Amino acid sequence: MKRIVSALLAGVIALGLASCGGQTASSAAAGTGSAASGQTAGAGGVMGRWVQQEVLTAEGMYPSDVYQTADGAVHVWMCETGEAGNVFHRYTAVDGVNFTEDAPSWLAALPAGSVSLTVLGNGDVLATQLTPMGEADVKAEYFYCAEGAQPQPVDWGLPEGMVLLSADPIGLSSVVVAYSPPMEGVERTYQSGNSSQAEGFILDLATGQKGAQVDFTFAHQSSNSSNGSPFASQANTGDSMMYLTSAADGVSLYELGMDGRSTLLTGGSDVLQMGSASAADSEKNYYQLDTVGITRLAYGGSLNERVVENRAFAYAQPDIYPYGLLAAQDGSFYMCALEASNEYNITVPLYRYVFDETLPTQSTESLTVWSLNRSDTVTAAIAEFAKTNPEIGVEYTVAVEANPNLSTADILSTLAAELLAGGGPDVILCDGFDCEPYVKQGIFADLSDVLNRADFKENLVSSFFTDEGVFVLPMRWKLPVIFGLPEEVSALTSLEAVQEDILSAPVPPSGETLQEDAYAWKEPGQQPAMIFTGADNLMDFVLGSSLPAIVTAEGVNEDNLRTAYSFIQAVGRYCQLPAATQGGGGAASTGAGGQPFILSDNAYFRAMVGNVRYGWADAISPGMLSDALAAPAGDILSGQNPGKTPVSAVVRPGLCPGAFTPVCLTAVNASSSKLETAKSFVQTMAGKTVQDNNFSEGMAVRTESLQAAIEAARADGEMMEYFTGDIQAVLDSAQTPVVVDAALREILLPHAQNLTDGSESVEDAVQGTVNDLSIYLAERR
Amino acid sequence: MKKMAAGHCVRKPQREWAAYLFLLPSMAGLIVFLLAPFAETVRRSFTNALGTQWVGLYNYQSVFHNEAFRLAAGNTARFLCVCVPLLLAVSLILALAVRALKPGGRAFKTAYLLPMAVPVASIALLWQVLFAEKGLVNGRLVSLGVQPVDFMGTGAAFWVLIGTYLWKNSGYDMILWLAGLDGIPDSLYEAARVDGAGRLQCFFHVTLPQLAPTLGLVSVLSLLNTFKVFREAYLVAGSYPHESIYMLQHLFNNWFLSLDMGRLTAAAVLVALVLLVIVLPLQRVLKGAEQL
Repeated sequence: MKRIVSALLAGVIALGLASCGGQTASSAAAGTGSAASGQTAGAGGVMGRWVQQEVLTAEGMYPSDVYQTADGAVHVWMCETGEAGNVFHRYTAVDGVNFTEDAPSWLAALPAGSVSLTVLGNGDVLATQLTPMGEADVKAEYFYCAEGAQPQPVDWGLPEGMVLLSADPIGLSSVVVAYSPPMEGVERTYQSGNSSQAEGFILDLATGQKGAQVDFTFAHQSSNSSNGSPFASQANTGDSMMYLTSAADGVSLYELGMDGRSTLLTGGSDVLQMGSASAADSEKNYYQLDTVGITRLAYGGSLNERVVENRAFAYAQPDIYPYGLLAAQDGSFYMCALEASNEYNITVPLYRYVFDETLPTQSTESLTVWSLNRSDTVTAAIAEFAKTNPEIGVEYTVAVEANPNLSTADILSTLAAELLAGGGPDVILCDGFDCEPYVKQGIFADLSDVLNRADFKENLVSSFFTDEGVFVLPMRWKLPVIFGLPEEVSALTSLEAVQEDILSAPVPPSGETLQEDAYAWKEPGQQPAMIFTGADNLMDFVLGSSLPAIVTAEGVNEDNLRTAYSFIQAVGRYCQLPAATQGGGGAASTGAGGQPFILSDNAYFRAMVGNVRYGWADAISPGMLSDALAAPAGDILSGQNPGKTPVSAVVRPGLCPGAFTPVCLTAVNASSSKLETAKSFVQTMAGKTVQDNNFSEGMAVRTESLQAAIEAARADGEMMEYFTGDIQAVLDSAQTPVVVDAALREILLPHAQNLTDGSESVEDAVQGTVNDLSIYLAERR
Repeated sequence: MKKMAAGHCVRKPQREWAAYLFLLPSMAGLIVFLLAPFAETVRRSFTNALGTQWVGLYNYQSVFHNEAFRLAAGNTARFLCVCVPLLLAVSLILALAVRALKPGGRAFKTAYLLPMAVPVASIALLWQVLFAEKGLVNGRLVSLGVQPVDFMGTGAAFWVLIGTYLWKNSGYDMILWLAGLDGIPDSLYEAARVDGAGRLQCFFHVTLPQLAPTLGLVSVLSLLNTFKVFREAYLVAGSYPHESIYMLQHLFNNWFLSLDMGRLTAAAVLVALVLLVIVLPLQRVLKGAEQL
C-alpha cells in the first residue's frame, strides 16, 4: 500500500513539473507574437506584415492632400512655388500604386494667386486665392472647383462684421463655415478671427445651399484666441466630420453631423493626439499617425489599438513631416509627407502602407539597438538600414521610455547583467553612462574593419581610434562655445579671463527673478557679463571644458581642482547663485542652412534679447554658430532694439584645450550572435546619408557631411553678415572629448554648492573632494 | 531484507529510492538557485569579465591589493564586530524584560517587532528627515546650543547605521530568544533554587548554558542580517557614501556596474570563505554545548 501511495505521489510531482515547463514554453511563444501585425495562422506558420512603399516622390514641391474618390482611385495634390506663383499638380493612381500626373478640367482656369486647395469629400476642391492689399493685409477669395466645370466664386454669406475663420470639409460637397468677430486691435481682414468665438453653419458648395447651424460648444474647449479652424485633427467620413478636442481630462473625439450637432465618441483619452495627421474610413473608424505607427479607434469604441507599428518606416524619421493620412478602401494607408533634411533640400514622398500576407510576420533576422535616451541618428539609421536590408528587423529599445519606473542605475544594472551573461543588445549607445569600463572589460567589438578613420574629422575621433582598435565612436558631437562681440570674446582664453570679465561687470540676474529681470533692457555699459542659473549650472560650465584635467588616470589633479573651485567660488558668490537651477526657458528652432539650434537661458538672453555681453551654449550645428548666436533682437518688453551686431564665438575656455562633447557614442556587443550585421548597422550610422542629416543631438563627425553643413551655413548670406568669426576654425579647434560621468558630477556638486553659498572654503572643498573621490578612484585601480 | 512484521517485508533500497525522489524538487532548486550559481561565481573568479579567458589568481591578487576592497572589508568587519554582540545583548535583555512583564509584555513584543515591517524606503526617508544637515536632530541640537553634526558626511554615519540596524533587528532576535527561554524547563530553575542559587546565579548557570543552541541560531541570523543594512545606506547616501559606511556591498554594486566581474566574484568568494570560517566552528562549538 505504501509503495502504491509513494509511486502515486512521485507521479503527481513529476506531472506537475512537466506541465509547468510546457506552460512556460507555450506562453513565451504567445508573448513574442506581434499583435500589431494582424497575423494570420497559415499552414507554414504565422504570416503577414506591413510594408512601406514609396509610390511617389516629388522634389521642390509642398504636399497638399491625399484622398480617394468613390471609384477607388487615389489622388494627391502638390504645390510648386515659384516666382510666377503657385502651380498645383495632381497625381492619380487608379490602382493605388502607379501615379501619373493628371489635371482636372478646371485647373487651367484656376485664378492666379491661389495659395491652397482644400479637397472635399467627393474630390472637388475649394481653392483659396490671396491678393495683397497694401503692406499688411490680403484679400482672400474662394473658388469651388468641380470636375467638368469652371471655378465658381464662393459667397459665404457671413453676417455683417464677421470674418471667415475656416471652411472645413464635411460630407461630399459641403464645408463647415466657421466665422467670428475680428480680433481686437487687428486691422487686417484675412486670418483675423478668434476661433474661441466661432459660430457657423454647413454650406453645400455644389448647390450653394445653406445647411444647419453648427454648435461649436465642444470645439471651443480647446480653441485659444487664434485664427484658423476651431476643429483639430479633422477627418471627413463622407457624411460627417470627426475632430478632436482637448480638455483637462484628456483628448476627446467628436463627430459633427450634417445637422450641426456634435456627438461625443470617446472622451478623456491619453492616447489620441491633437495635431496628428488623421483619417477616417468608410466605417467611420478613426486613424491617427504618430512616430510609432498608425492607431485606430473603432467607431463607438474606446480602445485605441495599434494597427501599424514599425519604427523603421518613414513616419518615425525626425526629418519627415506628415501632411496627410488616408485610410484607403482596400485597407491600406497613404501618408503624404515633406522630407526636409534642411530648407534647401526638400522632397515630397507619398508612402503607402499595405499588409503583405506573403511575408513572414517576423523578419528572418533581427537586430537590437539599445540606448538610454532616444537618438535621432539611430532612428534615421534604422530607416536607411531597412532600405538595403529589408529582411532584417531592427528593434530599437529606448531604456528610459521602456522602463519609466526604473532609475538610471537600475537600467544600467540590467544592461550589465545581460552583457555579463553573454547576451544583451547588439548595438549599444553609451550616452549617459561611463563606457570606459565596458571597453576595458572587452565587452565591445573592434569596429576597425567597418569604420575608416579617414572618413571622419581627425580632431574628433583621434582619441577613439587606438592601437588596439576602435571600440566606441561618437556619431555626433557638440561644441561648447562662448559668443559675443568679436573684440571681447577673443580675449576669453582662460577661466581666469572669464572670471575677471564677470567680476568687473554688473551682477547678473539669477534665481527666482531670472526670467523677469533678464528681459529688462540694459545699456551696453551696464550689461552683466554672463548668465548662470544656479551653482549646478556654473559647475557644468566648468566641468564641460575641464573635467579630464581634474580627474585624470593618475588620480585627482589638486592644482586644477583648486583652479576650478576658485572660479566657481568667485563667480558663484558674486552672482549670488542658488544651489540648483529652478525652471528655465530658452528657444529651439532652425537657423542658417535650416540647421537646428537650442538656446538655454545661458545663451538666450545674449542671442535673442541682447542685454548680456556673452552667451554660452553647446553648438549643435554650424548654422547655430552663424545664425542663432548672431542676432540680438532687443528687449521684447521695452521695444529697445540694438539691431544686429557683429558676433564671434570661441571654444569655451577651460582646463582642457578645445573641449568638445562626443554624443551618440556607438559600440557593438562583442558577444552578439549577429556581429557582422551589427557592424553593418554601425557603418550605416556613420555613412553619408545618415550623417548628412541635421539633428538637434549634434553635428556630424563624418568629414564630408560636416563640411557640407558648414558650407550650407556659410551660404546663408543674410546671417553670415553678422557672424564675423570663422566657423571652420572654431569647429576645427575641438580636440579633447569631455564626457561628464554622472557619478563624478554627483560627488562634485555638493562642494560646488557649498563654495557658492560660502559654507566651504576652496581648500576644504579640494580636500573634501579628494577624500570623496578616493573610493571612486580606488575602485578603478 | 528486514523482516518488520509478519507479512510486511520492506526492502531498504526501495525506501531510499522513494526518499530521494521526494527530495528531488528541493535538491533541484538548491542546485539551480544556490550551488550552480556559486560554482559559476567561483569559476568566474578565475576568468576575465566575460568568463571566456582564464586568468589564474590575477583577480584575487588584484582584490587584495585594492584599497577600496580593504576599506570596505575593514568597515564590514568593524560593523559586524560591533553590531552582532550589541544586538545579541540588547535583544536578550529585551527578551528577559518582556518575559518578566508577563502577561503585559505582549504589547511590547508587538511594538519591538514593528520596525521589521517598516519598508526600507521609509527608513531612508526617516533618515533624511532626522539626520540631514537641517534635519530634526540637528534642529534640536541647535536649539540646545550644540553645534550641528554632519551625520551622513562624517564618521557619525557609522553609528547611525548601527542604531538603525539595532532598531530594526532587535525585535526579531528578541522573539528567537523568547522561544529559547520558553524551552528551558522550570525544573532546572527549581532545582537551582533548592540548591540556594540566586537570580544572577540562575541566569549565568542555568539560563545562559541552556540558551547556547539559541545563541548559535541568533548569531548566524544576526550575522546575515548585517548585510541587509546596505539597503538603507544605499538609498540615503548613494553609491559613494562616507568612507565609514562604505561596505562590501557598495563595492560589489559599483564593480558590477563597472562590469568588473572578475574582481567582484573573487571578492565574493573570499567573503564566503570568511563567513564559512566563522560559522562552521561556531556551529560545532554550539552543537557540542547542546549535546552537553
